[in-house]
Amino acid sequence: MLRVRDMTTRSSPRRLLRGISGVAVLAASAVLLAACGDDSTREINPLDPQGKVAKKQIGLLEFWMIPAAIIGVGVLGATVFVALRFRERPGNENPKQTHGNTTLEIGWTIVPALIMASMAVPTVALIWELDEKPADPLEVTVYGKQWWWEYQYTNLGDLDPTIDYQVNTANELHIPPDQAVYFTLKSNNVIHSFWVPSLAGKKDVVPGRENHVWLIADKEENKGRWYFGQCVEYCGLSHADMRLRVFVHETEADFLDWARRQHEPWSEARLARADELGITSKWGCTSCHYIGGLDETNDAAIASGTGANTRPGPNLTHLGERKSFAGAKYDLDPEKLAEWIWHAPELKPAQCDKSVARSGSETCVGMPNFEKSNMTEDEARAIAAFLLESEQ
Amino acid sequence: MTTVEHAVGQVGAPRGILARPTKTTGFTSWLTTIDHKRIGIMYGAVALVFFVIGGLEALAIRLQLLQPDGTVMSAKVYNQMFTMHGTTMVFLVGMPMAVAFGNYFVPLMIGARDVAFPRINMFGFWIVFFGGIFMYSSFLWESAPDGGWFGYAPLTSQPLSNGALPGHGPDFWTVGLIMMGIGSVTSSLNFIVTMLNMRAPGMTLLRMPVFCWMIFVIAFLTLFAMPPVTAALIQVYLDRNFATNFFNAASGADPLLYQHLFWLFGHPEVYILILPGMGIVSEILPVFSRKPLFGYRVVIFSGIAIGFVGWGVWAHHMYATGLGPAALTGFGVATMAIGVPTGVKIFNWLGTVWGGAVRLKTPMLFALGFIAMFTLGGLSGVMHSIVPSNSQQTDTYFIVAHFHYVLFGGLIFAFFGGFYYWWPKIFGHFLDDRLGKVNFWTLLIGFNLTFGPMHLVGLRGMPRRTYTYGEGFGWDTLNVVETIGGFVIAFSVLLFVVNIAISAKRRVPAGADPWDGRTLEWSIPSPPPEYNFAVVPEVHGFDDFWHRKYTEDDEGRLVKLPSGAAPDHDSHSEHAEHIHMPSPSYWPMAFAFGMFVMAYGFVFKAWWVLGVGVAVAMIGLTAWAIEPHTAEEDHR
Repeated sequence: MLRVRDMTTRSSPRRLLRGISGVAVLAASAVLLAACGDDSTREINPLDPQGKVAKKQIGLLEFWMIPAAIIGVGVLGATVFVALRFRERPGNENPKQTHGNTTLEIGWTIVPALIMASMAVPTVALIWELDEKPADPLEVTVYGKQWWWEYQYTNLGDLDPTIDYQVNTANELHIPPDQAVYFTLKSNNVIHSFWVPSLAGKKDVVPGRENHVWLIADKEENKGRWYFGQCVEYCGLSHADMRLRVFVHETEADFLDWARRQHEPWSEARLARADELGITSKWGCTSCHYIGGLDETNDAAIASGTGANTRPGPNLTHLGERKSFAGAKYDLDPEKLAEWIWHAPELKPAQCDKSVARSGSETCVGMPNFEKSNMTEDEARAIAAFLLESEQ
Repeated sequence: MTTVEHAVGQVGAPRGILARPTKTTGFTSWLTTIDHKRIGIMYGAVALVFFVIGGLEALAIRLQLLQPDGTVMSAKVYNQMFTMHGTTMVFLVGMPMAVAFGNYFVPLMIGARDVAFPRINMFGFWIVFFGGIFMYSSFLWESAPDGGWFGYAPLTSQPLSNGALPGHGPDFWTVGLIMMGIGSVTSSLNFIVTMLNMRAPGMTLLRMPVFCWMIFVIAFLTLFAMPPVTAALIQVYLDRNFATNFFNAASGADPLLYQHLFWLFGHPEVYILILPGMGIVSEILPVFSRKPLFGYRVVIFSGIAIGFVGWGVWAHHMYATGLGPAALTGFGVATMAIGVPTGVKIFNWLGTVWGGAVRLKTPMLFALGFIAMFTLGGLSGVMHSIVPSNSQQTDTYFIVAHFHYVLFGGLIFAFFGGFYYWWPKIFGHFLDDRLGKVNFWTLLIGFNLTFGPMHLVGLRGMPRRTYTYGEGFGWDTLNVVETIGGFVIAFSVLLFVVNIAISAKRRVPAGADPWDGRTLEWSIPSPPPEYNFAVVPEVHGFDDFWHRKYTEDDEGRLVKLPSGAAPDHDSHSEHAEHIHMPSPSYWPMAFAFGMFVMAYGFVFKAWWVLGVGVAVAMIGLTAWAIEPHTAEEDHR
């Protein structure tokens, strides 16, 4: 009968140790590499919370990381230890056949249960604390669209009684400092999730429901800073391109100035030039986008709130003041904007019936491809330049 | 001399087209086999192939995410890749591989000659096989599923005009999963009935090996988990194709209903996935420590506890959906509770190795790797249960890290351990142990390189299911490391495939009991004869086979028995029996094939195709019911 070759005599403990140290070195270098390679220029980091809500949320996690790390290292260490310490050697081939130990079983059931119980207490407390609507919030209704964000400021009058209208904008959310902002989340299409990692945890935007989340930029460093976020529930083809930015104004007055500007319509002169460029005529932009001043009924609807969430494309009235576009995917610059206007699906795919494409006539979700409708590159550039002008 | 016959047929049984096939060798014999061992091998082979395919999909993902604003593939292809990767790994690898091991070894470990319903067993395999082929055939119509492995409504259930996914992708997904679900349910029924009724004399339930117990528990979990998800899938199909309103918010429905139904399945599903792996590890550790499993009953009851409590935590996948603080509290506390029995198992495994005589062969390395990696995954899971913090973790790569640590570092490592442990029994020769060790270390390193950084990149805000990401968010370097790790994993899997090939060529014979095993499968030849046991064993205690070889002295130390059970001692005994084994059959496969054709009818709404499929299925089912019990030549 063939005797099976015993491999244990070949691989000594030293070789095993070498293997383990190899793994450890690799792991450490990976972490170091990653840490040194911190290429972050944009604030989107839950581990660096920038507002009270995010701070509390991550604080609880960071607290429990310590016992978790201890247990993790403990079990890893124990695994390596038992593997090496009890290696089969001449003399110990017939170990004691222990079947169990009741005391140990009780112990290692009760201790973890106690740890879990103590973890549960602050967890439950924070659940209920964060569920409460903050006092005197600024209220914003967020509409998840495909693939951009619409914001409707509904109670600016509570901050400034002279403002008796609502303000509608897209993708870039402006907020005042030291002011709780309370969001109502709505969708008339698919499920999205609204997330500004540096400021607060996420909340899903579910059709047929009104979910809420709130945040507050209450640190001195928040003022004048941009925070980044994105949609974080898979919502179709260009989910990854549905991003957002939040700007915290230096002062509340500054924020209110911005809000009032958003309400201003285009002048007659500007509207006339828009018509020449085809924006309000040939290219039909206003069949998807709102432009203030074009139509009184629409203007009244937007100002009262009933015109919100009625269009597949964002409010373009004050596009030129923003820093980004296309669902906050791209920084706003004339070249990129022209490219977008000319053939958007090349940059951010449109979800169409037959395939990912780029036709003017298929049923699609997303900005159409005007190149296919015979828009020239020059025409696109002209429109882009016009949109970026400071308005008059 | 033991003779094998296939069961005696009835007088006047129909012949001709309903005659049972007779071949037991050759390619067609595999197509008609009802032998649990061959079915197990087929499940395993199919699962391995899909593991490689799912792995290639993962590599595609990693290549696209290597750099920000990557252009390796279009958004649509990427969305198909992550959908198919998840769907494949869960339904075409995780579940079938567990059933592969269960099919092969449960009857052997309980001293039985086959499962209770061999033809249903065969049907279960073929419908899973055809389900996989069906789902992958969607690529031929450029309609691979792209709604994620979880396929949330209304993204999958509405028309394009409401913003949902166009094309046939979601339909291939729903119908394919329903097919595979049918297979899972039939396997579960089979396992339950087999373990309740066909244990060898003397094998009480609490003398059954832990691996069998884990299969027993997940069989019940599967039985109860498949209905809600099947309902949800049917509802999505109907919403999408017949304008029903199950998840249509505009008509007053709540899309969250889908998530509740899906996760009512989905959470028990993750225990369905991991418990067999825990069972495999519970078999390997005692053998390679030469000590019994520490706390056998506690390990079993912990498995049962996990199975029960697992029904009460599903909404922890939905913490961000707006459930309200009461629900968040309930599910949060329940989720924390489930960490306790899991931890108990880990401590018992460590207690098994403690004080033993450890042989660090490849199976043992994978089992130890399981303990370490699964623990890390469990710890990140506990982190997720902290509800307010979860809102910063969910839908990010921190979650992706967690479930890969438990499902890859856990389940897949357990499967590899199972391969190296049981290969000699199944095929009669070893997988090379030295190459196995290189396989283990490269897999461990590659795995940690790929998924370790995901903890960090997730906590730094990187979301899931995104075909690209922007630069300047601090995620670039971590993604590079992860992609490198992915290729190291690929290399390791390649080594495994090479190992299979070399070992098949070298054929180092293993004999019946190469590892000095404890359970009944090691008491019969390698590979086992068709009938498994020449004489049905009489079981006198737990680890009965081990106790035929060893007893204990006063201090509990092992003492080898001089008259120890030489393997295969029954093969020349005078107690030879005429053993009646069930005959092969065509019809379960035909029935499955009929359903395969029906599936295309449903996806394309081609009712004539559906009709043909129904006809084939009905013929298959009828013939299955009325075919004779035996092949003609065995007829007396």
